[in-house]
Amino acid sequence: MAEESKKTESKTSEQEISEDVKELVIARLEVLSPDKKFSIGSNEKEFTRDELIESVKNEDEIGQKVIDLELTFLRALKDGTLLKEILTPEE
Amino acid sequence: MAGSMLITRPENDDATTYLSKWSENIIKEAKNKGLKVIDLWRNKANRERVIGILGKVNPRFVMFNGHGSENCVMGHNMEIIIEGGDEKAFDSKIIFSRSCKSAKILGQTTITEGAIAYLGYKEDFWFKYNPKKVFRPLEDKTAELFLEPSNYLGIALLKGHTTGLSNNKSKEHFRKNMEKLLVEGPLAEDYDCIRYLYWDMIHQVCLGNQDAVL
Repeated sequence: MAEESKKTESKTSEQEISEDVKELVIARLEVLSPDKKFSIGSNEKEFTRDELIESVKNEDEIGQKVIDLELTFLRALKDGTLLKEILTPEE
Repeated sequence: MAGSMLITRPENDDATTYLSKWSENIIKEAKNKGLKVIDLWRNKANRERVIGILGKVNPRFVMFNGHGSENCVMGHNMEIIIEGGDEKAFDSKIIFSRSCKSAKILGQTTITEGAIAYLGYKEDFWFKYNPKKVFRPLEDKTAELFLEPSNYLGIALLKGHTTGLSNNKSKEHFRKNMEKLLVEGPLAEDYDCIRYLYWDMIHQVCLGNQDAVL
């Protein structure tokens, strides 16, 4: 698992993230409360807002997860999926 | 409802402690329904006990809390308690794994090897919490936004709903929390949680038989 983390941490050309995206994600994180924490996946460590921002800046494994989540949400917001999901009950 | 249920509740960090405490409601519901609950708490949530109980007691319902990956679920102190190769141990069982990503590969292979249904998450399970409440997780209103809907999956199964419907009912609870935050508006304390709730909801899945009941 440690090897897997290292692999994820090392950037590949496909995974490179544009500065615009990073700036957008950081701006969205900056409005969060600094007093609360996040549990993310299989990490024993918990993260504060400022740690998430640092991770995005460094594009490390956690930063990639944060960016993935934010982009998934923004895409759903933009194409209407989010509202549809919220307003449409499951059968 | 007769039979037994196995639940693991490691407590080696804030995240697992929250999952463990919130699982107390599920245990209570199971006992109310007459199930014998085998509760592997803290250091009892280890591989030896889990594998032993799955084989000897053969509980129909298994619930894991803890960290995980695409191919494993962890117990206390991050010990791998279930991994690829153990799938046969889940033959004829309904599994709810509140652990990150395990539905992605482990869940799929478990179904292939004979499990009835595997409910869990295909990606990381996120939740936000108030560090001031770590000694009273059940009073943490921020964490409740995430853990109550997730809990409801187990509760719905215990109420006798089918696996597919239980997953949908749980998602309905995620949806209601997002709707509540949307109505409260951007000034609400936890307004930003909508994005994390959405992530958890879309990655929560029910694999295998959608019509099975406990």
